Amino acid sequence: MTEGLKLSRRRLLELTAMSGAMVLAPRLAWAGEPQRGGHLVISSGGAAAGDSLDPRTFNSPYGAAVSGIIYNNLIAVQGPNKELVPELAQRWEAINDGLSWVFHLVEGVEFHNGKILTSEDVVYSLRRHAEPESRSSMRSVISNLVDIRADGDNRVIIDLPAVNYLFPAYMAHFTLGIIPAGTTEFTGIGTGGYKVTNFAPGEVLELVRHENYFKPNAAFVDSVELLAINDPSALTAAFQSGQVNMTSGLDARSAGLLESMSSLRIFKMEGGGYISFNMRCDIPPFDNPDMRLALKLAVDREDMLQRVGAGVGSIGNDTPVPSNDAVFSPNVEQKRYDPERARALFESVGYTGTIVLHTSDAISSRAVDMATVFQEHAARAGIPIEVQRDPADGYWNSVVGVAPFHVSARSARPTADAIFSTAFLGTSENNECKWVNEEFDAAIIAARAEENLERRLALYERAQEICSVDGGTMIPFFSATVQGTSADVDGFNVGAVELNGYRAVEQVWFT
Amino acid sequence: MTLMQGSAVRSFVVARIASGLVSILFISFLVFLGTALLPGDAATAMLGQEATPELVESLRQALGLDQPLLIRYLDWLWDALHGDFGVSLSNGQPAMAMLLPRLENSLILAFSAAVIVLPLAISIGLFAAIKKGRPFDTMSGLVSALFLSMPSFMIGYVLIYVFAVEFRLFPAVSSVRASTSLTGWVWALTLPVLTLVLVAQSHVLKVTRAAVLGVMGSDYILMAETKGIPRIRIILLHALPNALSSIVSICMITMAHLIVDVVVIEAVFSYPGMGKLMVDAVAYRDIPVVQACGVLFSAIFVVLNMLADLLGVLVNPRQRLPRRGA
Repeated sequence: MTEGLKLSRRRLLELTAMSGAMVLAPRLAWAGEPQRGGHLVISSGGAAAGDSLDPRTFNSPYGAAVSGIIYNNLIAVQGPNKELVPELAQRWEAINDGLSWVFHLVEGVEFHNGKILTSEDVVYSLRRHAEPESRSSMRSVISNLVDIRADGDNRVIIDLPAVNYLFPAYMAHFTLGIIPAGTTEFTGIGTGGYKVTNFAPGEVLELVRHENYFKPNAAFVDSVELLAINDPSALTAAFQSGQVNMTSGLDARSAGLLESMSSLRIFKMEGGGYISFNMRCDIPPFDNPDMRLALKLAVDREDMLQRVGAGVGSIGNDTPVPSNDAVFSPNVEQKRYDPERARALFESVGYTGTIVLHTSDAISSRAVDMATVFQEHAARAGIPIEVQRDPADGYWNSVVGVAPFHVSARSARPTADAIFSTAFLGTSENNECKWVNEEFDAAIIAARAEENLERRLALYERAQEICSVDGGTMIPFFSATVQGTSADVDGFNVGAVELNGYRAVEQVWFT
Repeated sequence: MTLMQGSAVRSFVVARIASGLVSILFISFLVFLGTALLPGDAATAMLGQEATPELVESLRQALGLDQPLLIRYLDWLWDALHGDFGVSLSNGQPAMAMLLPRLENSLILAFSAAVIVLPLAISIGLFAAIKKGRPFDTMSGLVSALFLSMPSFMIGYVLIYVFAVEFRLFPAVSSVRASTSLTGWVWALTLPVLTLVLVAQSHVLKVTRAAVLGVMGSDYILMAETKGIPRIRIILLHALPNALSSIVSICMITMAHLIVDVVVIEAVFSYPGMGKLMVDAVAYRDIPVVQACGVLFSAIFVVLNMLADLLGVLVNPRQRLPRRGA
């Protein structure tokens, strides 16, 4: 921002002239003061020609971005600490000893078609996810609920099968946008800050400001255009050239280069997403905990983060909880690269032959690099790894969760409970490592029902300890999200969930 | 004599069209077979991580995936012949309805490039032939070979870097839609068209130059030269008409290649055409869309190749001989 010491005479003259102009125009707006107007172009990857505006079908970064522009959730997630803030629910509380949650809706919220929001709309929007034909990623969560019911026009009650004080965070998931009750044709009618004027799936979404938006101090720009750019190089070029004003999903490896351009602002945020090496705990040799620990000690995490992640990210400790998470425990011993101990453990297992590690571009181009770097690290500990690169086609279906040792990935979740429940509990269908540890499961279930924060943290600490040492998932590092805006955009706040919980569009303005 | 020649041409045309149709039919089977062999069938792809064995089985039956491959192919072919390629698995729209607007965009891109590259490359090729061995000939050959040896996506990225990122003259992403104005189209299409022009020019240029120079070795050209006719007149009036058949052929083949190149270029520029649709459809296992795109692309390719052969014959009577195995 500053010109530093390179202030030439000409530049000084310019500055003097400018300050003169400012005296003449005292109402010139300064940064930090939101202004209305302008046309904002943003972009996202993960789009397809088959995309729809039905929130139940959102399962990609593009769907998530769309959701945050045209729909509202009951609760939004904001900022680096994943704080839950009121959106369509102005407040919420647990009743029946934590077995039910009441959400009090904001009154007078207007949909894009003029209809006023009631509790029936919320009930309809949420229940749809449990329907048999639903392919929603929130299907298992919603179908496990006992009931979702309206209590008057402005209260919604959700009955849980078991006490869970962490439940409200689920309501911030991007698939749970609220639509008018009875909607069957999805033209994008929601309560969000912008309404759809044109939607070409896989190409572009065009929107104008929703003049009766219920948030008083939001939605500053007049119109928005969301471009679908799946090719990462095209995305970077469009952003560099100024064609796109705001984007997430930039490549960490080009962050340094982009930061040096004065026309851009780059925001890096340590995220909770990761690429993991999964060991199937029900298949030899990985059914032996010593084998799992040997491999975990045979990876040089710092080196891998530097070489594969360009140093942008944070070191992992084989639990899905990154160090900036509210329940992260610093007391769990951080595993270090220890080839000697890894060798001793590996020899004690008595396994002979090479260990095949499946990887693929389907996960990310980094997945292949990570496997190769790990092969090198493990070789120094005398553990022979063979990297098998599988075709991207069908990798998610036929290798992930199937092969004994394979590379997989997970995106950031709003809470530790959400990621532990989906991917680590012995009872979860999505437990790719088939790792079952009763003490761990008990700690996670108990934490949900624990109202006292300290005791809850203690339970999570125990869960992280067990997961780190015994679990089947190796997490060398957490990736960082790299987002950016052009220099004329202000009001962009960095959040742990991309685009500040997908609400950045309604928060920014042009200076 | 003329009668006999006419019937020879007619039977050649008929045979060539028939062989083209057989090719398209054969390709349609390969496309169908290819999509059937993709790992993980459509039922598992549609259900994703939520799949349970019962759900998969019921969906397989609903989609007719439990039928033998040949029966499925014949069913699909019958519908395809009536213009029905089934519905997209991801949003339930007819595959053809998704495809046609994008086909239009792809054709706009490919034909814009063709309209520029064909006259340009033919003129440069001709001029190079006129100036054979002179600096213009050497330079045009060198530059042409340089772009020929670069992969098309790389030319695209270089142009984006220079004209979009550094000089900010043209957009990096060619986002067009129904509401885009004519100038908007020109602005958006400049870089992708320029890329295609640079990719496609080489063959036309070289074939034009070689064909003209080949004819220049004939006795009647020597005759014309000894009569003292200027070289430029010899090339344009005596050599060019006789070289025309190979030039017309290479033009058609170049257009066929342009249609294929747009697949890559559309991905580089995020241009909403059929190539991008197909790449997305493969990634998301949208089999009916992949099949429709595959058949349509190959049909265009086969038809243009067929036109290359037919036009090549029609402009050059000496080639009016039935060819074996065409």
